[in-house]
Amino acid sequence: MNSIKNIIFLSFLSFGLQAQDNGDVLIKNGTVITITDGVLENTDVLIRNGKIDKIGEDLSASDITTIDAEGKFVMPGIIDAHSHIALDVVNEATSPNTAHVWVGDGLDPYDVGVYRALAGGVTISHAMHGSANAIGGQCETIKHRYGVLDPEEMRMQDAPRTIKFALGENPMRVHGERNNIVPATRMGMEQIFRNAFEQGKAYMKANKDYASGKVNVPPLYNLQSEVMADILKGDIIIHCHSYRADEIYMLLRVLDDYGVKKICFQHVNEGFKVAPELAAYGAHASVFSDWWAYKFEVYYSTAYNATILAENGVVTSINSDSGELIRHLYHEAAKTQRYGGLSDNEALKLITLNPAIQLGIEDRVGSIEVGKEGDVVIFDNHPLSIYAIPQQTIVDGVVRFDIGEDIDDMRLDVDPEEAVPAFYELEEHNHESGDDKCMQDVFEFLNHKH
Amino acid sequence: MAFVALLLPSVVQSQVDYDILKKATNKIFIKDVIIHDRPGSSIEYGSILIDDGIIQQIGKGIAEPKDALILKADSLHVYPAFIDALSHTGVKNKEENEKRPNVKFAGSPPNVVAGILPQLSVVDQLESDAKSISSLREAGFGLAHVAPDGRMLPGQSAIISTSGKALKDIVLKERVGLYSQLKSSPGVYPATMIGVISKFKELYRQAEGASVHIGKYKSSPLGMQRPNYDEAIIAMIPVTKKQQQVFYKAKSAKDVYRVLALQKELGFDLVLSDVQQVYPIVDAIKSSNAKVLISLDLPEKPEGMKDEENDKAEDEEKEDSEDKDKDKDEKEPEVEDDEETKKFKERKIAAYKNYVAQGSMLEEAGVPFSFSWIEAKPKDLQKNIQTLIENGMSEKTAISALTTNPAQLLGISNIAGTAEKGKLGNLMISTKAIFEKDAKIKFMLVDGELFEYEIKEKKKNSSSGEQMDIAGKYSYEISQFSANGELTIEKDGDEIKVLMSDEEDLSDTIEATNVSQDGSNLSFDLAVTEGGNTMDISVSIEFSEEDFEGTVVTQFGAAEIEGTKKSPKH
Repeated sequence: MNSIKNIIFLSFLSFGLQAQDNGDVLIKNGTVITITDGVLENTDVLIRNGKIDKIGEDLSASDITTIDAEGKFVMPGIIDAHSHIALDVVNEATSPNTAHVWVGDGLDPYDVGVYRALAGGVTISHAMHGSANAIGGQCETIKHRYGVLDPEEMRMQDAPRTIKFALGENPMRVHGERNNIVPATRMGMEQIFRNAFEQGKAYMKANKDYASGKVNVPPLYNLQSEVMADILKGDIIIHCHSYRADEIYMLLRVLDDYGVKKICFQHVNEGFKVAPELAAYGAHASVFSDWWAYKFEVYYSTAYNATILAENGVVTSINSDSGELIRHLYHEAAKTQRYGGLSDNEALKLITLNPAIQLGIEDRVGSIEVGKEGDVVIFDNHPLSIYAIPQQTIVDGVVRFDIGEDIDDMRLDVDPEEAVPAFYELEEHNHESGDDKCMQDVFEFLNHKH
Repeated sequence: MAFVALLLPSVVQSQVDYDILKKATNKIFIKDVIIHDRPGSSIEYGSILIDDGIIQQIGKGIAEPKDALILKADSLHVYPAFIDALSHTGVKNKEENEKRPNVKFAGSPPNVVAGILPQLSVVDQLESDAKSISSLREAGFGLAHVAPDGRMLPGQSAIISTSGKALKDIVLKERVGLYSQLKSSPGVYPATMIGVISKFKELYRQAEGASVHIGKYKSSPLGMQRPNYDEAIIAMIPVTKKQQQVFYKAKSAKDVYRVLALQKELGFDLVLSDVQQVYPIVDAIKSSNAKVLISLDLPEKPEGMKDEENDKAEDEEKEDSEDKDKDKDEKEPEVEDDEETKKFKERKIAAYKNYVAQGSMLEEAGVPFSFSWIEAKPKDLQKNIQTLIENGMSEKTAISALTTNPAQLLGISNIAGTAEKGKLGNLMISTKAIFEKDAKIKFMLVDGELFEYEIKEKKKNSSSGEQMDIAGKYSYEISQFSANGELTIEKDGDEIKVLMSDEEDLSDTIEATNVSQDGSNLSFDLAVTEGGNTMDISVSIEFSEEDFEGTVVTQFGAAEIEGTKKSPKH
């Protein structure tokens, strides 16, 4: 039996991965970018039992992992407010309203994308439902505890609930064009939201009437209505896929009519046009640094978007929405210094404290402060430098990525029947004109789908 | 030779016509056998008397009755027949290509399209003379717990006997459990696994509400809306009251965690079913206290893995045939793997070792389990259990998982699971202790019916045998590639023509090259052209009666292929 245990041990722990949730680590003599309390030179950070215990000089602790960060930069773990890694399912595209589904039911802790995100210094991401539906499923805020096997352990426990909304072309195409049902137009989009909130209101009333004894039969349980009611009650933060200023403003008016305050617009490429209105409502914005023109409704945009929004007082973050971009969000943040001239701290806030605020977890993460969770990334250079490379990424005091122990095959789960080599696509490139075919398949697939 | 024949059990040489004797009496007396009456216990040279399918006497020193059929099974091994803890045995194949009704709103399809049919009983879908029942019996099973096939909620399971008699005679217990899967319904809600989970939660809560409503209406209906007649919701009520177990299929460790989380939220009585990947989650299963059915569908052994015993045998064979076999010398020299490929292969082997050690891991953790057959085939039973035993699981655990554990789980341990007085006389009689190498099942006794099986000598060299007649049309499936279609074999003298097509267009066929038949084995190559690229595929299959199975090798790796002969109607 010993040999069997060794195999399990090797399979899961040989890379320094740990299953336990909280750890202890002492980071010595780094340049600590706290986000909320300036930059502290030659400073130690002590993480005890997963929480930041002490920040100061000449800290010591026996029997715990010590990392020498002399000449290095220590910053809070990067937070991505829009991602789809660690998910087995992204879209339940069967209805304009799928508030009842929850991507948290389909978390994939074995996704190697989580490890890649860690290698980019990202410790928390917002695993979102897709944008096929006006009201998509509920999302899940996850901690990048790569190495845990239970999807439950990926969750950031007690993080506020969130839900995906989507405006514009995606839901119109999926439901209007494909199935010839509402919403086929932006007018229809508005109606979907109003109907759904009315449904939630009616459901709340029916339950209230039953609870007070006014009616003697419980209303038929309806998960979708439950979720709509929870949004009305303020228990769920809306994260809405959006591009155009007119429809962004439309949703603000709808939410205002129903008294819903918690809203973060995602992508929000024309956010710069309605920045004062967003700020006045208390709405947040999570944007790409400089990515647009990938479809008609995203032609009008600017790399100054993040800066304009931030300068207008909108809580703004920069997100990835991609398993590739998530590996260098610090570069994305740095672009706001070229386009808009944000200060170092303002730029880094876009990928730390601000996304934390948007996810409702800013009292727990997003800065290096005593009492906050021990999510930290150590860079060799200043994180806004083009030469910056993450060295160690720590989640809850556990080192989940260490560039010194970064072996090639970091998969947690191997199929004994898989084809080897598993990455045969690479061979295709060697064929004549192989490069063209690579893309050809992608376009064929897309054409076929739509 | 005569000397050797004397040593063999007498049944092998003298063929008694039990069929005639059976008609004369309901009593069967099994003499001088080794009775493995319960896991870990055995009675040397005992006897068993069965009357009308029930064990009347068992043990040593039982007088031979004069009015019984005497089963000459001297020195053979008798076990309580195995109990299949969950499978689709005997369930009619659903009409493939059945046209799904057009659904206007994909978000709210009719339950039949969504695959939400918890009210259905598997009994309505059983064929008592199905081949799957006789195959299961041939593999040593007397009882089977069977569930309907379908999507998220296919229906209610039942316990049946494998006697092959009429439906009314084989059903022991109906509506045993609710069979549930994470399987979605393409194009309509729930179209994804997260949709399936949300729908399950909703139905469960609706059933809880309906139960309250029905109860209130029963006691005082005046002025009250009458409860809806919603079959699916009503069928879920016993589950919400923990009066019925939910057999939830969860193949991977991830799925097991998902189902455990669902159970934790709702609180139903869970049986984790057909679990294939156990090794990472033994502790999680143990601490959940969920009951568990382990799939006997083990992964294929990865290539390049040392199998000491077989290798030795092969080496010896090689030495013997080296002179005769000149072809082998001309074989292409093997290309050495690069470092990366080597590492990939090592991880595959490590993963495989984890899978085959799962039986012993559960045993060591003290988690009782049974075996299920949703994806495995009964004929792989012996081989796969032997593999688990070779990797540390005890024989006692294997027998428990096939007899006493399922009996207890299914609430039938008062009538089945062990061989003792008063229990069902469902027995399996084998030539050796059942998990020994080359052990063969000689007799099965199920519900008083006696089945005798011919012991086939293992063919040493199939090429010396006759060429099997394999001509015909077959349907095939390569599940790993999600491919299926038609395989046509035409024979003209010695010429064999093989045509293969995909189900999307059966008329678009590819003719195979390098076709060669060797007894019941057939091998051929195919060149498949897709999008301007040509892929070479080599196929080797073995036929047994109407079915075949084998391997398809492509540049991307190997996959299993299996198929069945199409009836002439098609």
